[in-house]
Amino acid sequence: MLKLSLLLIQLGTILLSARLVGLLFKRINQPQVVGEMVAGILLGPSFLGWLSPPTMAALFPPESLGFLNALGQVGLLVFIFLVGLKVDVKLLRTLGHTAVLTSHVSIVLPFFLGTLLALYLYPRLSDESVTFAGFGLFMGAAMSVTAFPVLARILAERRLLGTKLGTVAIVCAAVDDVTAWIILAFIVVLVRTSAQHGSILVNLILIIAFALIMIFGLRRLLARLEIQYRLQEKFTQNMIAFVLLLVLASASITEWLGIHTLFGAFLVGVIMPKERNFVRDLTEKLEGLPVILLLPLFFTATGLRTRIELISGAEMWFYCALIIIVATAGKLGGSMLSSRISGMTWREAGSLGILMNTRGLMELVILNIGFDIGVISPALFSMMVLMAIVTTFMTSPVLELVYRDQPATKETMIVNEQLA
Amino acid sequence: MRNVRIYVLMVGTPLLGVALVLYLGQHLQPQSYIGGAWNVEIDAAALSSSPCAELLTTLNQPALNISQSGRYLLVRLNNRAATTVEGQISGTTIRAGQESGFEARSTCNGKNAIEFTAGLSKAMPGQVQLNGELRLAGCAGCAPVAFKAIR
Repeated sequence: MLKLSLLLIQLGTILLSARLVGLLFKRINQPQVVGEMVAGILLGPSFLGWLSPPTMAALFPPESLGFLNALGQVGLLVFIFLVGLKVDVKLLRTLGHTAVLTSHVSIVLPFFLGTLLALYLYPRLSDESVTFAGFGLFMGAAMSVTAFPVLARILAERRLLGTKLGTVAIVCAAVDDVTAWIILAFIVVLVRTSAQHGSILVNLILIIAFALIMIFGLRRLLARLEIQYRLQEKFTQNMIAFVLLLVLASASITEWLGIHTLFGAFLVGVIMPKERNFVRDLTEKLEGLPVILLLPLFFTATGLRTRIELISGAEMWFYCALIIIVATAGKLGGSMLSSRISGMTWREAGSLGILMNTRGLMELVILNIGFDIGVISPALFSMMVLMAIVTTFMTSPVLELVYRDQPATKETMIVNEQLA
Repeated sequence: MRNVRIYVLMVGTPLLGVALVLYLGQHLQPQSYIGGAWNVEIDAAALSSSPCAELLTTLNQPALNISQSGRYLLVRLNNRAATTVEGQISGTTIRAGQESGFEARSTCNGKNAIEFTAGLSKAMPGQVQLNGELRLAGCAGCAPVAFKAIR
């Protein structure tokens, strides 16, 4: 049985390292979350395990990892709910020509390049336990994701929210995230049902039925919650408990339906009322403990799975570099080209491409799902984690080069109360 | 009309590309799956003269744990030293721990502590088997010993 003292030491170590490395990264103009991701890897076999194997063995004995991982998943569940909460589907109706083309190209082009790369990597880094369809589609989805929360934070820090560039970027990221999750849900069903010799069609029908019930049934109930919030002018503890119960129930149902708990949490977030104060207050109430304490546990769990030593030799590093190049070419190149064709200047188009190339935490979430269902091998997982960190890390400095000191002008400002 | 043409070109073409790639990918030959824990049968007595004989005498079942990433393998022995060697699978042949200088090195730790070559065979439906030969470091004169592993 897990000793409480060991758990407390683990929590303390993870929290301390996440805050320290996060702050260090903040000082070099990186979002704190990038530092927290790196802190997770530093605590894993790639650094601590290499530096001092006995320390790592004592700090993270295998029997303690299940509990630590479960705690991290709870934090992630709340975090993904908050990501969904910030996605406003109404925004999609305001899409102009630029955003429509850019968002769609920024999904399909990296998706295509991801599957194309899969043709090369499948015989080298996968095996017969995975079908090519599952592997190829997963590589496509993993290449096309954009970290909506990290992107929003970068835009806010650079005072770009509300500008044409910021608005197109945030709308495209929202479209990308929703699409990536839908594709991923399909892949998870495809892989899990083929492993259990079940019917994909039945699972898909059940999932669509559940989504429709949530969108058209639960949404009305949530509208009443919003009325209650307005009457009380705050969230009571019962209201928060109700929201959390919804998240847990939806997560359990999507897990039962053969997808993943995170899909249920994301769906509840998306269908929540989007009134500005409602979203802000609910976020403030929920994000403290899960984001500060529990989310770093997820980063550590990811770090413990990431084994850089598996990428050994020139051949493996070549695959890793190829993954980073293809990911960047598809996302940055696709977004830049489509927005340029839609009428943006090269500078704006380039900046949009750089922003859309931010993968961050969302990529780690998707990679962990892929690893859990056995679609990607340990070495490929480690390469993809490196790709997520590199593409996220490069965003701020490269954006600084391309879009240096470009305050929002009256010409480029558009009125968007929900984003301001 | 121009916008529609651009949209079809930039979105439709990659989608067709995805369909083509998925079709082509069906014909790819993946590596055999050998990951997981294996029970090993080996006559370790033949290697008792090796200074590294303890690596085999302290083995517990399942004695072999293979972490597979396509054709790249990380093979860990379930012994006191948790001996870990890198390897590769090519078709049905598995080679692990063979690095230059194997014979010359006498250390019982690290990537050169053991080496083995094995062939993969499917004895019965659902049961795979490895048959091969294993050598220990620091014992250039010792003959390799045969082993069998079942998952």
